[in-house]
Amino acid sequence: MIKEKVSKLERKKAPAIVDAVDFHLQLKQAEKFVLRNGAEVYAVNAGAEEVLSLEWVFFAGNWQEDKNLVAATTNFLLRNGTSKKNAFQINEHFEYYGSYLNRACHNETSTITLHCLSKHINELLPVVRELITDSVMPQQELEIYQQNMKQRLKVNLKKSDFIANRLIDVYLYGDKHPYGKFSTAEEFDALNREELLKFYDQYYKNGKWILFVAGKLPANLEASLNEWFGDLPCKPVTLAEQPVRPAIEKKFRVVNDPAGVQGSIRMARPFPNRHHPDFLKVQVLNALLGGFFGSRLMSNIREDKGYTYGIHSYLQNHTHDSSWMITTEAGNDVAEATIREIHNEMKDLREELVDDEELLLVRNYLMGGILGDLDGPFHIIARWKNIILNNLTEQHFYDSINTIKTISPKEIQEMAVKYLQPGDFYELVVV
Amino acid sequence: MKQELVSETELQKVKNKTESMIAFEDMSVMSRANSLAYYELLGDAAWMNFELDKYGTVTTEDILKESRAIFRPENSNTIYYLSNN
Repeated sequence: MIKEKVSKLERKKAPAIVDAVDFHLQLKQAEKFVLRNGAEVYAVNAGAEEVLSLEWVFFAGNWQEDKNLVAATTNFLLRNGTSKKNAFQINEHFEYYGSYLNRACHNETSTITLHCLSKHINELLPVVRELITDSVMPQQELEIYQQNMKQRLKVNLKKSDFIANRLIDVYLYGDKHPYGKFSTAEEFDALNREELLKFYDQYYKNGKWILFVAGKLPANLEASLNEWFGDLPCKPVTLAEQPVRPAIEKKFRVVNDPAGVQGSIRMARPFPNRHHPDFLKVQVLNALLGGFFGSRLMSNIREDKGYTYGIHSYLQNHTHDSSWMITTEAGNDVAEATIREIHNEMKDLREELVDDEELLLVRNYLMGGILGDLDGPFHIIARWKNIILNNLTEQHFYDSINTIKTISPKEIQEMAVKYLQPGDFYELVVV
Repeated sequence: MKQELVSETELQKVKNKTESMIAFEDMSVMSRANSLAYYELLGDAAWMNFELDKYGTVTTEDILKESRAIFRPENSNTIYYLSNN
């Protein structure tokens, strides 16, 4: 118990201060086993509390749908009715046990996630099974969803940042690509129950899934999972090629609200995914540019010029093609000046070496971030999920740390020269 | 709530939710440190270990008794926040 541990601490002496860059971070091993049906399970046994997180990852994302919104809607309606329980009863069941059942739809995958006390697993797993095998997607629930989503869309379409996020992805990938397509009211209206049930049948009932489990694992976990899920179909799913169709034009100025006072600025260039040898090095360069609160963009455009409350840059979290993105909202009258300053910061990084003090700060920031991301079993399994779903190996984790610790100012400059070229960036302002 | 006992199921649901909330709160070292500091300020960091047991002993009779003690008009202040027109 906690008290006994506390009493052994040395209380008279302050703990030594260690730079995050000197941490020796280890990624706790995930145990892998395979259920009777061939489904892979990755499990991290860690933590002191008797809790579990189980995440079923289906290959049922936007990538697989033939018609826009079918994947997301199917995923949303998974828990809104089975042949035995209505939406309220399903909700009540998970709530009674103090558990949390969530679902989400992404590009390549969609998920069902259960967080619960380990001791309730036998009451909860059968109902998760019911959702995977016996969801009926009631017509009435579909109609409520269509209504709510159209209302939400109507509100969002008035916001410049929402429009900007949609458009920049269209420029990068094309509006037919899973990363570029977006929703319209007409497409919500065009959804029908039969298409959802067909998608459900193909990609949930008869699809492929991987399970990620974390927490204090019960001894009979594998047996329980085999009992409730070991007989379900788990067939390979192939992801079809989805060609990227980027825009030729690079500069866009869009007026969404003639009375708008705020401009949403997006600048982005295509960038390879995690498998590219430059990816990790560019993560460090990105931090320097706009990846944390002390970044160049933030110091200049927020702190010095006062054009914005915040400006960020990041590598998009995509499995296939990806991009490097800079985003901010700035006053309409300073939007063009903001873009000029972004170009100035890129130019500085291309032309001058970063000094040791700033680089150490960035190394410490990134290492501290990884440390924070390993806090507890749920974070650790998220790391593993990222590795598995991106077809990486455990080595990627250590390569990443090694790059943060050892990248030189010269290498950072080389990356800036290679990737921070003004002509490669799409440039968008939406008012 | 002052007239009738809540059902055992309803009470158990609240206990389950509380237990779950306390367990999930302690998942990261960050929130554990927060909890320790919180209970230490209340009197003793070790109370962190006994908080859940206290919820476990609550009965439906306790809920009725407390409802009668708390939900009295003279215990309540009501603010009317009205528009000008």
